[in-house]
Amino acid sequence: MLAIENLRVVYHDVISVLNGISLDVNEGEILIIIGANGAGKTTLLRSVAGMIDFYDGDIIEGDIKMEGSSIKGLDAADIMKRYGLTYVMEDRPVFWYLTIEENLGAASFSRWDKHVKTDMEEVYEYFAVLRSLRNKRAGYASGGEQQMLAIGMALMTKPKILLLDEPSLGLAPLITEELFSIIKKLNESGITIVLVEQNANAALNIGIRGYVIETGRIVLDGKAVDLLKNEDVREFYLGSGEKERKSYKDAKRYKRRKRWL
Amino acid sequence: MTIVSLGLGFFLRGCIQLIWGSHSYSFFLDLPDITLEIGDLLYLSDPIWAGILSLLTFGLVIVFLFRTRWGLAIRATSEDQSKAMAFGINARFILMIVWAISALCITVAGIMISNFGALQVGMSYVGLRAIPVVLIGGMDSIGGALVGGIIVGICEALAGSYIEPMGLVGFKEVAPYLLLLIVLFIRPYGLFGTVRIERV
Repeated sequence: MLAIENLRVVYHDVISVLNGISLDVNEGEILIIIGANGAGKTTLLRSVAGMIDFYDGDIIEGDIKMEGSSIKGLDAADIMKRYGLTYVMEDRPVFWYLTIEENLGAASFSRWDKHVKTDMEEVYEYFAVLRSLRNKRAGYASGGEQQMLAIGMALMTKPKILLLDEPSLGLAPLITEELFSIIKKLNESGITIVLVEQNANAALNIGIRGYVIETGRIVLDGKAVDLLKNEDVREFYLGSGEKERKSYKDAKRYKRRKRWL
Repeated sequence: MTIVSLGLGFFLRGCIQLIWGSHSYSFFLDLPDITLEIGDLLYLSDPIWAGILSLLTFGLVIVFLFRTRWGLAIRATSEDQSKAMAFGINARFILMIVWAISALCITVAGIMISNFGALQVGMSYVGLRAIPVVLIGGMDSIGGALVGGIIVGICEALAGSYIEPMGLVGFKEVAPYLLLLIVLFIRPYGLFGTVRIERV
């Protein structure tokens, strides 16, 4: 459905963030992308959603294809309208000074028609809390409610593929669990989901496939269940794995002395 | 940015002088005379018309901003451009609309002001008097601009007729800025500026 081919992205013409990433997203799956801070996950999503220009970044090599046609260099609004690709930015991208209902209305700007009201009802079905807060300013809602609103706003754009950037950022474990179960439900209703997460454990549990990104490169990919069992992923991202301390001595490649003196 | 706009202002003024000359043109709208006389007070026809038309324009802008989907998109974009873009609002197009609306409002204002006297180049400096109006009302408050305008107008008129005769010629021009200074000391966001939402 979505294919990224050897993508290289540079910020301000000097900072190379993505150094040749290739990945595909199949229709109807939940794809998990994990990686440390600064690995380039957010940059990847920004380039796909057509917002990299806004952050003074440039795609210097590679291509992004949606259903076979290149979407590189298109406007964010165009990509959304033509291909149904919606990007939910990190850190709860809601409009603080608008009420929750107005937020949902603003998100449906690109496709305003008679169904907006019924779609809003549908969002309220998914996120029951939002209904009782509909006339409250979004800035006064709690973090979990804001994140639910952000995903609700993304639903108002009628997406076929949804890019979620760290939806669990700053949320309590219980709320995260609820959020992820909703994401799973959305996926079952037919929306393809690309989920970028720091919370690797929770994400890999709902995911189908996963990629691990480090310094702008893909270092590992596979089925989510396999990644959960992978020794390195367990150690670096899940905080479990080998318990005993490792010493640099063991990592030395040559045990034999090479010269006398 | 401010300096660039000032420079651009001078440039445009020069262009206008080159094309249309710096002499004044007579200009008046043929509106029915509605001069009011209540007690000792005399309300001239032209300022009343100006008030009515500016209130009308104001009302239209308010309706546009708060009752239409375009207005909703404008308010969303004004808060955060990148978020608006991510939700499919074409920010560049919205900016264009906003510029068009502001140009429209300025045109209405320009017509009303030239109706008071004559149409000439130096008139554009009237625009600078909007600065205390907007700052007193609060930069991001729409109703604040209305209240601020009335406050500044009354302040100018009172200073002109009570303080200037005491020997302070030109005090009328300074009075709004003094008022602005006092208001900003007490309320840094202006009288009706949005209180920032702060999360704890």
